[in-house]
Amino acid sequence: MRLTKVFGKMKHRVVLPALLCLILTGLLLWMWVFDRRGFEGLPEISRLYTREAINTLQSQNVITPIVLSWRGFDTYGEILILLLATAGVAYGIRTKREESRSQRRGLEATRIAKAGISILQPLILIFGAYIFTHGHLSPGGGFPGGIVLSSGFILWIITDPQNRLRRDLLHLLESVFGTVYMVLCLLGLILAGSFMNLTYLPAGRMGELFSSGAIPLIYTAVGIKVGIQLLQIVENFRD
Amino acid sequence: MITFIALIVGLITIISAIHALRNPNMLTSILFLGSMGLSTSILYLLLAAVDVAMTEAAIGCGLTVIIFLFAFRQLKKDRQ
Repeated sequence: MRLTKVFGKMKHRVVLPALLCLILTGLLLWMWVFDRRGFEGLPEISRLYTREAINTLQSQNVITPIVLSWRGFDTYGEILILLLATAGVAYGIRTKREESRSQRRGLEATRIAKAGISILQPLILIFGAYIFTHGHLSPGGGFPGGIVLSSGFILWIITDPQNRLRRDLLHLLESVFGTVYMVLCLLGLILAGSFMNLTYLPAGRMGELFSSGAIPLIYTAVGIKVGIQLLQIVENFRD
Repeated sequence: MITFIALIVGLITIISAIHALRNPNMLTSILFLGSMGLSTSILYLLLAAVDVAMTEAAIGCGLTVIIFLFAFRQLKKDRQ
């Protein structure tokens, strides 16, 4: 409430520069959208990545080998940032609300919402698993798949305040899949010669589910880990 | 045609962002934030970044709104 009052006072001083920034950003994006070049127009490094992704890993979605192999440290850092955020939320909120958790009360969803969610939840979970197992074939991958997976459980959480997730199980699963991710990356160092080199499993044929080396395995681990981390954040934010 | 759609979706994004900031009702603000996330994800889709669009739709429109709603309920409970 107080924030909106502050914004009301600073109306012209804040809104006009903000609008100017927005218009400039829009113009920049506009130039990017209508400046699509073909394969030959790409910079050298992009062409190299595209060629290597197809030649060595037979990946249909060229972005996945870049994200997981050549730029694998970025993905690793993102997961660490998410872990830090989860730990921060847990530390900030848990200490205060531990006693009130036993008598959790809140609004229960209507019968229609409950019936609808019981039909929707399995479909959402299957779709989430589909997104991260098919990360090398179609757009998607570990992060979107994990988020969809966790949204299925969040729907189940919000129907009834009595529905609870077992925290110890969540912690265990999160650490197991984090370790699996790290071990799969280290296997590249042992078997293929460099860290996060995913060519130690056969590349297979383009377009098949079991292709692209270890990408499907790594994306499964990343997807489940991300989903569980987001689930922990939401679970902590619940009263 | 794509230009036209991008213009309309961009306008929706800007309008919902301004409403999310300036609406006196907190609940409406949160819902406008969700609509901003959704229209941003459509913009990413038009930019041919399907991966980012999926993530933005799930986080910007789903997860953030739910977390804000939980926090909003908690604030209301604390104030009483």
